[in-house]
Amino acid sequence: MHALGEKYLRKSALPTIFCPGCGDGTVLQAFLRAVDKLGVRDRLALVGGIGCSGWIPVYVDVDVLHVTHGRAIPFATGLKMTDPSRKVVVFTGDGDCLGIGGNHFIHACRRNIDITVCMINNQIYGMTGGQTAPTSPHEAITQTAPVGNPEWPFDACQLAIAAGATHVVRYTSGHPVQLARAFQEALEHPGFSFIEVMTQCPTQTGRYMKGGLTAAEQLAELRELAYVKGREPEGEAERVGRFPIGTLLRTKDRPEFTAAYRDVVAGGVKRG
Amino acid sequence: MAVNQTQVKARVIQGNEAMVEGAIAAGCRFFAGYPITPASEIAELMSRRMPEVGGTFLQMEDEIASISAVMGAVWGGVKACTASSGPGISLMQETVGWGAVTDTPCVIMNVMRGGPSTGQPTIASQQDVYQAKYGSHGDYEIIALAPSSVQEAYELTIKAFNLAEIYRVPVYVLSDEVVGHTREKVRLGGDVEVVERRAPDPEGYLPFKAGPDGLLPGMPAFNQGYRLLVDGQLHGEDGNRVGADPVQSGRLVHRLCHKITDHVDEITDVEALHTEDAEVAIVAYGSVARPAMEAVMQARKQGLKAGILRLRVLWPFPDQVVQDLASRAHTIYVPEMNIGKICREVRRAVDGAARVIPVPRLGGIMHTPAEILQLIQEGVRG
Amino acid sequence: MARVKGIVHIDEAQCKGCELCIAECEDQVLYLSSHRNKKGYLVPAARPDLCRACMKCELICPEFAIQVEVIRP
Repeated sequence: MHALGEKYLRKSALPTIFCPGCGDGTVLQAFLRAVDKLGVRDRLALVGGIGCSGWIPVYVDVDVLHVTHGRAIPFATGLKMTDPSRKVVVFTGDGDCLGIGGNHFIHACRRNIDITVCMINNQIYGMTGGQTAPTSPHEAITQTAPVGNPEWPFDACQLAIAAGATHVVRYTSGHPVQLARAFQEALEHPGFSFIEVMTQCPTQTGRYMKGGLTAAEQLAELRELAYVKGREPEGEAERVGRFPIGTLLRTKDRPEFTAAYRDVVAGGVKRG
Repeated sequence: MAVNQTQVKARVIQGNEAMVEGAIAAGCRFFAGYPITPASEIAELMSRRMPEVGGTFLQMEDEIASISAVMGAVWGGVKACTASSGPGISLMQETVGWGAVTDTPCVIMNVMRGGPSTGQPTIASQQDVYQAKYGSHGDYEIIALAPSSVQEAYELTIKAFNLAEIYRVPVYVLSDEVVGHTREKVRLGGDVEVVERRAPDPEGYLPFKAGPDGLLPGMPAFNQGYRLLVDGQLHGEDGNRVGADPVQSGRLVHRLCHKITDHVDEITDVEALHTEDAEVAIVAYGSVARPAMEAVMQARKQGLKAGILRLRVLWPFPDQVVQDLASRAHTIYVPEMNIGKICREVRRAVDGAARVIPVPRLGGIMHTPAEILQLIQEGVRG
Repeated sequence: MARVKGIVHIDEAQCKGCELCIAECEDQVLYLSSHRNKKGYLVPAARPDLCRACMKCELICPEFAIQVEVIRP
């Protein structure tokens, strides 16, 4: 096993539940590289939601909560507030974070609380067999849209920025070097960090939506659809299905919540 | 169990405030909640008191976020609670189940109001007593306490935190709008018994391995070196999923239920008044126990052999105590502000040894002492 | 000029035969072998001497099954 795996993986939980070719494992590796570089293992508090991506923290041999569907972010909020020196990282999926968990996502951005939320976006509900997600493309074929999705997706990164997040990043699972750096920056960023990872899902998205692409083919397609922020393709038609990658926002111009809480609330009352 | 000695302070406050003070006295240092009538005062007071005692107050975006943040805070290392009423408690149920399956100690205050649904936001009821026990899906056990007075709102909230700590379980304090909003004199402080959080010995520690008493030793926290895996899925002693193994899965569910049901005698807390020779008895809880107690005292003045069993711990249900009562009293009345719920438990426990007569009141109507006295008179007549 | 080279170590016990590493490799170092691991997956193998330690296979592998040993001149 790779030395990083030997050092950090929770062996008793292996083998992973990830399908062959799933991007979740690549993201896990990138995360562990960042953790190793910063040496923050003992400060980590990981929270996983429900879905394949929610298993990512389970495989890390540190303190982990594997919680209810959509609620990883408020659990993480409780962990962070009780010890702001913790490095709290949430792993969630597009359904877990934007569907059932959407409200909590919005408010964590609004608070600008110093946690990192990594959302693995495979544009589908994977664990349950491939149903439509809030990120599924219009007219995509899914298990709950057999003749095509009548809805439209939205852009989690734009939502995060609008709601007040101060560090917003998107890559694909085919950008492991950039992801490792993004995790490192997120762990050090004093504020809400959101990392969206467009990920191949050979078992669900690859089969139903893409007509049977292999993991490598789906990953290649994701890389093709990605464009570097600042180099938007010309024309509306050229942008269909495409998405910007890179650090979309990183700012320290908003106060971070645990610090603001100390200043405004804890500092403003008499001790009794 | 530590005894914290503080100066006794006598105050006239409402039950909601007494619960806040009880939580603080018990060591609660995290509250996350959402506004809802008739529990909002708890959040408002917590917003002032938590920072004063070095704790954290959060108003979350909804009740699900509130209970989730509470559980996160518990694993973060502090005693924590939330407060709500019917609609909010309903929302919390999935997370209560998570807390049950992960042995997470926490306190949930339910200031009960008229239901169902939006119901009667400003009116007391006792309709949610089954929800406390059966609200989440799956097999699990919780503990629930029912204060009848402002003093009890204080004392039983402290007890709730202590029971949560010992049994590593979500514990409900089932107050209601009357107890919550009535102002009475209360004595705060004095010698307060508090079960302190105990860090388990990390040597060879298996987080979900019970001792011979069926209980987990202590309560760990994150970032203390335990490297915990706390999972809502059915898990083994080390926290890893065992769902595919029916024996291990069954073992966990068995432990979660038996850690409470095997300790009913230690958890049971009832106040018995004049039951030693009672021919007719009342079983009551919460605010309804007040007129019931008054009726029993008036009955005794009239020479009637009446008694009352006042349930301070509602769940686990005190079968034994109720059975004992039924071996003496031939008629048991159960007045409740609901369609008739705890009367079913009484009937089950009594198992035919006495007549059990439900006395439900709907719409927020509370029984009067005169009504209950009349029932006692009828019961004595046979 | 002497080049950095790499030796690709494959832990077949971890491998799920996803072939992402083979697709990532730009130098045709990796290929799908005809050998199945214990789990029944066909696992990759590396042609010797072609690897220049770009690390892409190691970085993409979702199962920690590949580690590239970097040989500096």
